[in-house]
Amino acid sequence: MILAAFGVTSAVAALVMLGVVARRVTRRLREARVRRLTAQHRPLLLSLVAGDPPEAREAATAVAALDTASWRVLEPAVVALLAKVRGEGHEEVVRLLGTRGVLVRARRDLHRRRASRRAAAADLLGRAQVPGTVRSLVRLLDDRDADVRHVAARSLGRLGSASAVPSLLRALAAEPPRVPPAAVAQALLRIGPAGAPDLLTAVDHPVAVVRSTVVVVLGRLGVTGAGTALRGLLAGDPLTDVRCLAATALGALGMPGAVPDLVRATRPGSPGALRVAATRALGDLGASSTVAVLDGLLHDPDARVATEAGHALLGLGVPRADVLARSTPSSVVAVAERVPALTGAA
Amino acid sequence: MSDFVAGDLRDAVALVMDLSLWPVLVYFLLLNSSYLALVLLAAREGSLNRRRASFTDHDETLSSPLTPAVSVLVPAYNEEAGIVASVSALLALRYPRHEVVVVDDGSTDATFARLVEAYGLVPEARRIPDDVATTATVLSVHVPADGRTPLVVVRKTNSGRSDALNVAINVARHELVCFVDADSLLDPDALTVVARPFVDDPARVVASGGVVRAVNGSRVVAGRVVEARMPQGWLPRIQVMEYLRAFLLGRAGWSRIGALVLISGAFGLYRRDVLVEVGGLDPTCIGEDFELCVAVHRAMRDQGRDYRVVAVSEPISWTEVPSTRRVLGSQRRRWHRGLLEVLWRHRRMIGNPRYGRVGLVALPYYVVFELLAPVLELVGAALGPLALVTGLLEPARALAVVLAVYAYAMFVSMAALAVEEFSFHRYGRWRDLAVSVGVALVENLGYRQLTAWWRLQGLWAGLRRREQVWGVMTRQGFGTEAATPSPSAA
Repeated sequence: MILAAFGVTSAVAALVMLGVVARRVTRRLREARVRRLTAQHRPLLLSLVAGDPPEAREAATAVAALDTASWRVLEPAVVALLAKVRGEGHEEVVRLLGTRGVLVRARRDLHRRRASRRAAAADLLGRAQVPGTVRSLVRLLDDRDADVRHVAARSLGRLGSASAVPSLLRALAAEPPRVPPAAVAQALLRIGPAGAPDLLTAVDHPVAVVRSTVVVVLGRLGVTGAGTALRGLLAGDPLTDVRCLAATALGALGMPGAVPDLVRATRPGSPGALRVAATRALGDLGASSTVAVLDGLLHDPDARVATEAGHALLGLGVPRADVLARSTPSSVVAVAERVPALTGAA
Repeated sequence: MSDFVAGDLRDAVALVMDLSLWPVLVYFLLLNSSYLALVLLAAREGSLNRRRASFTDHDETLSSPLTPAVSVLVPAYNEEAGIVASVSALLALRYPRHEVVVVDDGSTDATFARLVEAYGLVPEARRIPDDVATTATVLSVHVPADGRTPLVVVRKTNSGRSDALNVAINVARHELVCFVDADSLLDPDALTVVARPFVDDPARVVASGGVVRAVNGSRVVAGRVVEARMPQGWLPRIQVMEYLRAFLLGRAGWSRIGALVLISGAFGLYRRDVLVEVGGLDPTCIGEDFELCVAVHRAMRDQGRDYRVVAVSEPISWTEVPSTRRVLGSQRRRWHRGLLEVLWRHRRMIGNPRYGRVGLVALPYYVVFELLAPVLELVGAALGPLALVTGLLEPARALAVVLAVYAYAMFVSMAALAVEEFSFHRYGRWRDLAVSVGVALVENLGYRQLTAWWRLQGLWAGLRRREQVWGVMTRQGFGTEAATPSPSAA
């Protein structure tokens, strides 16, 4: 029996090795075929995305006429072009994909049983920015598969439709979030200022992750109308993380009116993380009125606050020598021979 | 009289054989089956990753405003051969915001001089927070004169790797910290991918570990591994297979069932605040990487927090593995002693339902199939010949048993190779595939028993609480221009 076990195991091991060899051979053959066909048709693809309109149209017609086997090999390369080109080149690629039936297939694939097919279809429709797919993608935000929901959010961002903002925020508000906050933030950034009204109404959302994501996006988008709301969050949000993000967003917005709020946040009674974030934000804000405050923070007993103050002063263009002079030996002090450019600029 | 003694010996061996033969056989069966199970779990993960490849957008992590900034922490002790190539590669990693913190742990060679020369370092007066307790004296802090390169170099008195990393944790400005060994080379996207779990699940992920592979023999250009190749000697070759099983497959498998308890210090990413909470690395523990990960689990479970520790199988940190028996033996003795120390220190967690799968599955597994493995392997190796000599086991039957155990172990290695080929195919040359098959055939003939002996020595030293010795790893360094010659085997 033991010998039989040895024989069976050895045979299975040998089969596994044969499988490995077969896999390597088939992969290499496939890669060689892809390389050959891609090289052969590269001039056509270049004309498609970079040629004059008649030339591009001609290239599109030629690629559209390729036999099915060749197209199957070329299709990934054509789809990959969507991420690399904009404007007319992008439109040509989308038209070509439409002609080859790829977009119709993608719409159909949104309802496939296999999650990877649904996700790949959602990704393609987003990259192609196919109009009229917003509703389908919004529905996928409730998909049972996490990858599909994630890709749907990303594609909604690529489509840039402000009508998707409430759905994206709803996906974030679920417990746990149905889509990673980073994916929602990225989508909201892609949608841009058009989504700002919905974002502003979500600033005081009861779910913390919604508030924090919205705060980051408002700061990045530079929505100056958010200043009052952000100052409110900085002063009174129950979560320190949200207050820190509000400080960062106010720094990014560069509104001098926020300086008193940020200064208040740096005071010793505030949580340590908030003091660090507010100090950094004062530097980002770039107002000359913050220099005196940052000077004071150089002597802060919290080494992290002092470090940030040093960096912030250098960022504001205060000469190195001045920073050193203002610091006590025990404080962070920023720098010895560092930042000659900044020193000169100052 | 001598017949009487021989008879007694025979009876004693017979008794030991009766009591242990089948348990030892079952043990080997379970041990290899557990490896196989982990390989299968990793294969499943690899298959999912392959399907995800068509719609995964790594640039999303790079451009997201919510991608956390990372401080890459590099302890360095006498690393003059490769420190500049290593730091250059770390600075060039694709990541939106990261800094590199090098802690020169009292090097006696030109480690610091090489860095000064390469980056034009100038001293900086800086008060370092004491969030994590440290024992060393910080001598000076240096930054590049250009003011743009995000590099900080800390010089301190020698106090060991763990304390050096604790200093680096204190110096780190960012919310995530990544441990990287100075002799490691990271793939360009390594940081982006290993940070991805933190971006996707920021509320729960507290640590993630990348894959570590052996760099020996590979082509390295400008601090990057451009072509993975099998090394020349059999000792490093076998370690390539070991690393493949342990990192690529084993840890991916543990991660899949939510019971990953070991993140390599050569490439691991942690939330800084969690490290501060657990007090950083324990300098008194020789298995500090393992200890840290278990301590994080323990702290999270004790606080009843919903958290995740995950392994990612794609990004790779390449490290030089020992190519001599002396260095390898020293490493394995140290690793096993560290394993014993950590398991003893956290014995309360073992079998304790409060610690979930970590307490009920992972740690008991490490006790039975890692800590005790050298004892049982050597018992098995000794019993066979003894039983043959005393005539208690027929040669044909003994051979059949040995062959069956050997074939199963070989099959597990082949399965690991298959997962590598189907999911990652890093080793592209046919000759490397042939060498890998050769490794699967020979690693159980001598090498396994040798490492079992070293591990047993480590276990014994730990039980006797002998003084801990780190030993010295002789580095060949990485070439920075063309392909480097392979480090030669002993």
